[in-house]
Amino acid sequence: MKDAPARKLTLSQKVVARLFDFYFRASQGYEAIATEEMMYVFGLKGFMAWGAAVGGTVELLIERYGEAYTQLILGFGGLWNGCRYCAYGHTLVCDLIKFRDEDVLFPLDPIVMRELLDLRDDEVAARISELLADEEWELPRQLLLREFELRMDTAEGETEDDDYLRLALDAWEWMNECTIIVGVDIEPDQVPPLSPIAKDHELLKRYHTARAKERGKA
Amino acid sequence: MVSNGNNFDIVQRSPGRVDVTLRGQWTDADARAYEEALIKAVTEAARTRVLINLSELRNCSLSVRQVLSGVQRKLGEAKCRTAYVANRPRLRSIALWVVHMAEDGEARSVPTQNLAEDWLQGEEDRVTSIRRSTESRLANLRRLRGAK
Repeated sequence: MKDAPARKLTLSQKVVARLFDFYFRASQGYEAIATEEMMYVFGLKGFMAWGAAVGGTVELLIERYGEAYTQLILGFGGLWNGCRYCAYGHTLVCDLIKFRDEDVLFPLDPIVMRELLDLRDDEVAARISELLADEEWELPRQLLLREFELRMDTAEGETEDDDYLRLALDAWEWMNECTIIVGVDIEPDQVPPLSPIAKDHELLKRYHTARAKERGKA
Repeated sequence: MVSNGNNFDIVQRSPGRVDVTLRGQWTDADARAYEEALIKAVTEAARTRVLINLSELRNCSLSVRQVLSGVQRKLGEAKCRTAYVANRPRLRSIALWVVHMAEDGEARSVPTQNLAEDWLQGEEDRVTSIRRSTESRLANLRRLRGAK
């Protein structure tokens, strides 16, 4: 792993990290990153607390927004912190779900996210408005722009979504504390979809073919 | 004020407060000059709050990032509290990497000047602050859902 520092862990930390990585690979269909780094930075109890909080956050968000837009919100949680790994991987999950369930190519994908990462924050917000301008994308547009305002601390008033979006932002800041060791430099084609949908290789293949065709037309 | 051409300014705004602006494309030599100047500026005061603005930085190589992280480690050892403010996700990425690798819990990457000032006024460690906030929001939401 590029840039990943070698960390000295206790035996129990090493054992739990290995078990976690093994379980994670089997259940999610892709490799966990930064487990040892989290163990080192958060400690064993902190690592457990982090896992419980992230799991609880995802559960609440899925209950409210469904899986596709939850993943999109998390992808942007990563983007605002500059974690490319989360920005690409979670957005890709949203794309795959939309493609599988609705046969559409969602306007935001890892290649677009790479462009957004280099823009100024106000330019990112403007680009979100532009890319999600169609009426069918009203909900994700509103959610992402509100998430942006909350992250920039410029939100006025309160909406029913604020508690959920703030939770997502905080939980992903906690996450990115350690994923940044990988997420600082990684490229879109190096990041898997960050959910068990990663196991559906056939879907991935069909999706990438459709995206390539779309890009060919553009 | 210490200035190095077009690459950085270091301004002692008041006792215990230093404002830094980094800009342009950096070389390893710029990074080393910055290290020397900033460490000199902060070791002259007892506890310094340092605001580092990266918004005008164009790019920074891995070797420059490593020097910045080394500087941040020294700021941490000197009991400084640091906020990196950057108006692009890419630059916040660099700032987060720098503070993480420096293992300095009193440094944080934020998107706005106001959030930087809030951070500088606080005393809490970065990870503790993020963890407390996440767990408290999660508990509140669960309580609200349970009440419905």
